[in-house]
Amino acid sequence: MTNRPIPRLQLIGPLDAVSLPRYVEVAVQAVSAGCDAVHVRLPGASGGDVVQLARLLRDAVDAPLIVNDRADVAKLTSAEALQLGERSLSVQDARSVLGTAMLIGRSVHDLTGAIAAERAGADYLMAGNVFETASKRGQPGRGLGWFAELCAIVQIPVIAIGGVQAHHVAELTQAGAHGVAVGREILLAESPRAATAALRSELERSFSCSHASSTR
Amino acid sequence: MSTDLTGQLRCYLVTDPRAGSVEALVRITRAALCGGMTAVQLRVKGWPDGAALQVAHALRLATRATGALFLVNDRVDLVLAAQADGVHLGVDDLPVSAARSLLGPGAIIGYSPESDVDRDVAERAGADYLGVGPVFGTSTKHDAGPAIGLEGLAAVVRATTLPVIGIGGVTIERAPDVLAAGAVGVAVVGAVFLADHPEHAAHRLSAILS
Repeated sequence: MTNRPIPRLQLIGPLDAVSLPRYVEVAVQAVSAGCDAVHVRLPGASGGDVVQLARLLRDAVDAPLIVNDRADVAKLTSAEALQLGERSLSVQDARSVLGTAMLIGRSVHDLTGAIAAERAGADYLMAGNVFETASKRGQPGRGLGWFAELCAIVQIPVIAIGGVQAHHVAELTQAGAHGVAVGREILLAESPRAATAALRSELERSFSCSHASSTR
Repeated sequence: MSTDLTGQLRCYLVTDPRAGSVEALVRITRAALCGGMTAVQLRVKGWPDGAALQVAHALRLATRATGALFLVNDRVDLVLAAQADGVHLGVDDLPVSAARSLLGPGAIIGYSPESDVDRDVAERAGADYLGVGPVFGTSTKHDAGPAIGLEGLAAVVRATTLPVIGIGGVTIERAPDVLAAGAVGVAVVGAVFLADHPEHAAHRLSAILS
């Protein structure tokens, strides 16, 4: 566990539809518009490709990186956080590799998983998909009620993911979200910068009105 | 390089991800260690990381019991989590320099070069041995290039100061030819994993190479 702040507006990708150079380009724009962490996420890719993307982003982007799945690459590139999923190492095993200095986030899809991840020592959760998203075709959103219930049963911060747009931010933070992770709504936006700025200003508005959330 | 490492590289088993289950992979590898394999490289591309680590923990114990070297393919994080002896890297994996910085000077780092340039870079970055092949045609690794033959293997041995193991389609019968070409060891996958009796196969390999 660390006392480091958990980023509130995370860019997650790349997607199949976006090339790596384009992802880096959008990440630069998003960070300039208020995105405060960029994911390195290449499921199934070899270590060399993951290192290469992490280094490209580290050189181009002035924001912390969140490396998905690969604890070795997270350590090598001094990432802010390691993001784990269901096919990844357990939180405890990743912690044994990384120690306590690095944040570890766990992606969860149900309440049981959320409780288990918190107990295992995750610093934050990423929960979804909250709304319907083209990234998870055929899976309806789990909904705000589900998300609120999940936030209520854990003490650690929860990041909402899945179809999140700027107009969702207020209701998500009311439901207990610490922040949001956004992929295609930024990556495929006509103006990634404007899409990010809209999300950021909604987050700012939510957290300046709601003192209750600022401690999470 | 220590003669210790050279000796451990003699009978080298690479695990076959097609073994299907954690139990099957561990069972076959344990049998092969009993048969005399001196090194194991865990290669489970495509498996969930949790299952891979479960195997790694089991093989760490098994290799410790027999004194065999234990390496993991590509995943330095699994090496650290399971306290393996080191990592084996290919051209698509973490760079050797990156693995060395994560693992420190005591770890064993193997590398499979695909060109003379790759080999020089890895050698300078601190690789401890090279895996060279495919010596013969192989059915267990579909992305392997065309066979380089015993002559190709011998050429690499002459060009490097590092110990070399030959890999790729090596059967027990042909294993002595690989040593004769200058390799310090022979890496097998199918010759053990596809054998009716993996322990016997490992024992025959070990006997024919000693």
